[in-house]
Parts: sequence; C-alpha cells; structure tokens
Amino acid sequence: MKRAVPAIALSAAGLTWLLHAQGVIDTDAATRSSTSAAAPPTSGDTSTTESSPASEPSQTTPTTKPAASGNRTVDGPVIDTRFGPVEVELVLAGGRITDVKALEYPNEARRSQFISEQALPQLRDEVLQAQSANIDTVSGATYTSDAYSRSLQAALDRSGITQ
Amino acid sequence: MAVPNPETERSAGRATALVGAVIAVAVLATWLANLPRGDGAGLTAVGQLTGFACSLCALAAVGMMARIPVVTNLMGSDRSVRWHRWASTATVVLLGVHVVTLVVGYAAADKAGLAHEVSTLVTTYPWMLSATVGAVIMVGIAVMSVRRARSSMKYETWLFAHWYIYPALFLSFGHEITDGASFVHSTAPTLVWTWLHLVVACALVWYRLLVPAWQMVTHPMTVEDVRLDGKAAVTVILAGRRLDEYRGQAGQHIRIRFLTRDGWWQSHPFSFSAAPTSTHWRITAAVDGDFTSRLRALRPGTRAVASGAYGSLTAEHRRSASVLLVGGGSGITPLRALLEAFPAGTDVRVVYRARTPEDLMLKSELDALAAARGKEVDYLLGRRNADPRQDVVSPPALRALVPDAPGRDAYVCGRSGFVDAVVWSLRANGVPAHQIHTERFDA
Repeated sequence: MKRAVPAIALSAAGLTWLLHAQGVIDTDAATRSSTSAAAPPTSGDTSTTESSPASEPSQTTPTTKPAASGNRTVDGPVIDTRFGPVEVELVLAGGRITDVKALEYPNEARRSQFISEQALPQLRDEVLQAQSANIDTVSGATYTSDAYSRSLQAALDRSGITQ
Repeated sequence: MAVPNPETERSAGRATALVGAVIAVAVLATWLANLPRGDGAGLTAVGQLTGFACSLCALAAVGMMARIPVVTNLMGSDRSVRWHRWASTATVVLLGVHVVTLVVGYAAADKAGLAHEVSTLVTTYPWMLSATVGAVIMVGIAVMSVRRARSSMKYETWLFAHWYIYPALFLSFGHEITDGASFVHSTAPTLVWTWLHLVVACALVWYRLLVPAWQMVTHPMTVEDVRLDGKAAVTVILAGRRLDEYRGQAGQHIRIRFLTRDGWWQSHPFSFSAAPTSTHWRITAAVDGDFTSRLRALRPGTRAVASGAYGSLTAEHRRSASVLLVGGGSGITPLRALLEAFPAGTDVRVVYRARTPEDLMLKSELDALAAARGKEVDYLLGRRNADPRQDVVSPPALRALVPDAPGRDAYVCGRSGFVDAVVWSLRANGVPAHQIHTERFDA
C-alpha cells in the first residue's frame, strides 16, 4: 500500500506522456493526410505545368485545361474505392503523356496513406513508360491501381489523343 | 437473488449463445468484406481476424469479473473465474498472433524489413504507440498470473497489477477504430463496436463501483467479533441491519471489503459458516495467505461493505431425500452452514478431507452438528495421492465409505483439483450429475 502511491503517480505521469506523444503522432498523420492532397507524392518535375488546385471530390466530369506552356492537363473522373476516391490528372505535351498526378487517393487511414505513398510513384512510372492506361496492378494496392487506371483511361479518352 | 433452476440456466445459455453467434457472424462479415489483397494478404487477414477475436476475448474476460448478478448466479462465481482465466489466456495468445501476423504481413506488402515495419507502425500510425503499451501491459499481467509467478508474489501486488488491465484496454481500443480496416471507412461497424465496449465498461462501473458504494450507504455493517479457530482458521461475526436483503443462504458466499487503512481497496469472497440472519453474518476463512492472516488483526467496530450473495451450493437445490457433504480443506466452511440448513431428520453424511489434524477447521462444531443428527464426521487426513486411483477419495475408497452415495445429493466444496477428483469418484459410483453440487475455491 505504501508503494501504491508512487506507483499510481508514476503510472499517471506515464499515461499523460503517452497520450501526449500519441497526440503528436496523430496530428502528424492528420497533417499528412490533409496536405497530401495538395502535394501528392507523384508530382513530377513538370514545372511548366500550371497545375489545377485539388478538385471537388464530387466532380465526375473530366475537364481539360489548356496551359500556357503548351502542355495541357486533363482531369480524370473520381473513381470510388473501398478505401477512398482516386482521381488522376494527366499532363500531355504534343500527344505524349509527360506526367500523371494523383489529385485524390486513399489516405484516410494511415495504412492507406502508406500504401498510396508507395504505389502511386510506381503507377506513374508505369504509365509514363507504357504511354497508356494499360498498366500492371501494384501488389498490395489492387483497388488503388484499378481505380487509377480507370480514371486515367477516362482522362485519355477525353483528351482526344490516339494511341 | 433468484436461485437458478435448470430451465432458466438453459435459456440463459441459449441467449448467451445467440448473442455470441450474432457477434461472431457480424465480425466475420465485416472481416470478409474488407479482406486485404496482394503481398502478405493472408497473414494480414489472419492478423485482422485475431485482432477482433483478441478484443472480444478481452471483453469476455473483463465481463466475467464485472460481478453482474445474472452472470454470477447462473454461472457460479467459480465457473466465471475459470472462464475468466480461459478468456484471458486466449486474449494473450491471440494478441501474440495478431501482432506477429500483421507485422510480417505489412512488411511483405511494403517490402520492408521487420524492424523498419515495426518502427513505422509504432511511430506513425494513429493510436499504435498506445496500443503497443497496452499490449505490453496485458502480457505483463498474464505473466504475473501464471501460477508459479503468482504464488511467488504478494496477493496485493498481483491484484494491484491486475487493475492496469483497464488503462491497457483503453489504450488498445483507439487503434482498433483508427487503424482497423473494417472500421476506418465505415460508420456502422464502428458504432456497434464502440457500443459493445461501452456496455461492458458501464457494467463494470455499475456493479463494481456504484452498487458497492450504494450498499455502503444503505447497509452499513461492522465487525462485531473476531475469533481464532485454532491456528488454521479465523471466524468473523458481522453485524448490520436488513442483511436479509442480500438474500444470502447457507452454502453461499459473499464478497466483503473491510474498510481498514490498508485493505479498503480490495474485496474478498467469504463463505457463510453459519446460516445468515437479518442482523448477523458469520464468515470463516482459512489462514493461508497474506490477506487471511491479517484478518486476525481486524478490530471490532471496523466497517465493512458486502456484495452478493453468490453461489448455487444451497439446500434448495437438493433433489433426493438424503445428503452427502464432502469438503476439502477450507471448503468445509459452507458445508458447515449447510449442515444446519437441512431439516431435522434428513440423513446427512459428512466427509472432511484435510492435510493434517491441525488443518481441520470448525471441528468441534461439525462434530456437534453431526452428533445432533446421530452421525459422525468422517475425517480423511493426509496429502493428495499423486495417483487418483490410490487417493482417499478414489472411487473404491468413496464406495467403501458411503455405499449409498447414488441415493444422495452430494455437495462438494474445496480446491478445484479436489472437487474434480470427488466428482469423478461420485460419477464412477453412479451418482447422477444433477445430484452433484459443487463450489470450487480457487477455480
């Protein structure tokens, strides 16, 4: 009983510290998921592109925007997956795909963020290589890969370029 | 408190099975709807399912200890302690599988090393650091509860450490909701899951905090007398008002919290060693541990709080005309009260097993009560024989001692090893199961 008082005090201090540390981690995770839509991990070095701000999640109509530099961007439709919506933006220069950006991707759960952060660069590389939406699924990110390829295909269809 | 009969017991069993089945189906459905794909998916899926199961087992383990009257009365507190132990063991085993499979599964999906995966999980996933601490606490409590570890430490230390299960469960709940694949994207399962945890939390607060506090106000009780019964036992007389409202009967036990400076935070079960009345209770405990040895120092006037009464070792459960009471060690206490409870003229035999003559409790009272029925108590002394067929309660030994056992209702009380051995012998001698009533002291 005499040792109980310091034990309780120590435990309370430990718990307070733990909840504080957890708060810091959770804030980081929340920041990551809210800022990542604005700065997707896939953004390449197409600095000439005037990228459009993150579009409304409800937006389903693909849009085309001419850019000053001769590049143009085409947004794909939002494709919903179990883990969250996926929307890509295509950057075209003279009929070639020069970049793909993920405007939206699953990032609600930390696990989804983690998977997206790994899968999206791979998917982008595949598209740039294949120059089409006909890409391999990234293992561990099946739903995201599928939605990515569908949003991309729709954007390509809208862009009018022939492949 | 109502004494359960086989029908209510059966329907309660059916209701419990139904609730369990609904929960199991719901969990399987959400799990199947969110199965992972890709590298490590198999392990991840196993990790997710064991996570669910681990959580449910933890809830069951804690719920068994919530002292919900329906549960304690229908199951008996000995059985609920045993279920608590199984559920706790399952919790820790499932916890281990959950952690290992998810770490390995995620590492495979992320093509990362195990150490890297662990550090990513703990330092970047919401509520995961807390869950890790919670898991460490749970494993610690489990280790302390392993029989050998427990017997090497003070009861108070063990009990105190056990309280840490509540912060541990609180810490691990967060990650289920924030990181669980089945919960992150869907509201309904999250609400049901949270609600399920809240129900158990409310039951705990209600029955373990509020009800005892209320009893303290409405049923003030004090120690009237403390008597030593040889070296082996101590008898405490408690005085109060309207004690009949606890509906205690001979053969039952009650949980008592003595409000001493050191002991107010723990309550202990005690058997009535005489039939309880509306003003007085008599309880007797064997002096065999830290707590019971301090009972001897209790002063008259010490306040106490009770909850109960519990147990189904009562006279009204009797099915046949005559009775056999078999007690082992301190298990004789409730049988001593029962010995008075049967109407005069009932044929009651008493068999009392103890290690040495010094360990016999309440001997003179037992002799007197048996003599009043024209009987003698059969004392069986000596250690338990490692070979149950050679033991003094083996089937042939018991048949020789009580040849008419199949025509009697047997009340068996003691440590669970003893109770199991006696029940085995009774069944081997043809005593029907419904004529055997048991209470296990350690479960």
